Amino acid sequence: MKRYAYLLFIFGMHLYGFGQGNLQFNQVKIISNIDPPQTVPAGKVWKIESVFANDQDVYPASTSGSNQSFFASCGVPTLWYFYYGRYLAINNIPISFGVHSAGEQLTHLPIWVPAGSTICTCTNSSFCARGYSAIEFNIVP
Amino acid sequence: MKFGLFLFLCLTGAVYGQDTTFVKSAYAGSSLTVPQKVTWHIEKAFINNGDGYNLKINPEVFKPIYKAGEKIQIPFYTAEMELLNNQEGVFYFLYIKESFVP
Repeated sequence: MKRYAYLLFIFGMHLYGFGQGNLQFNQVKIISNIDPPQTVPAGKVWKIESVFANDQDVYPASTSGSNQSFFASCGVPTLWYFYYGRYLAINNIPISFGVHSAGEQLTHLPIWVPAGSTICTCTNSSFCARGYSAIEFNIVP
Repeated sequence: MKFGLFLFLCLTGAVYGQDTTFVKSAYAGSSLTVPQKVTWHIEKAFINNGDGYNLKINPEVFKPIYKAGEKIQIPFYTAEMELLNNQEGVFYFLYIKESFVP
């Protein structure tokens, strides 16, 4: 019995060693903010490399904000925003990729987005990103 | 019971003739030498720069078969490296099928 348990362990380790996810380049995507929301397909992963500024690249530091509905079309509820621009919403989380006047990038790129995630853009504010570029990878054995 | 064990060993590759498959890692720009009395076929290859993922590369950067004693030059650069954030300290994972030469 002990022998079989040992063999089972070896077999399990064998599967573990080959069960890790590896990536293979598939394509480069450029998505505009007038494109529909994008869902990362099954078996793929996206690496967002760049988020395009709309009308300005550096945003003034803000000490106050307001409730906004930048991503209402994607079902993201009204949230409190501090007005740092270049917004995308990933899985209903609004994320600013702007640079505020103190020089700090608010969200560092790249961002890895797993399969099944939805990336939403907006057009109803100058704080919306104009689009983004991503590399799509296949998850391969 | 014995048949079950045989099937299990078949599935784990333990009773495949004299061919074996293994993974070797090597830094970009380095080289590997095929041991005597075997040939190597690189089934697939990945690069990694220390990030948490391996990136599959075009296997055509390698020859189909390397003979015993032959040196495998690991490319210093492949196009897929452009997809890495940092191109320093890149190493390769080579999935090698080794066949014995009688």
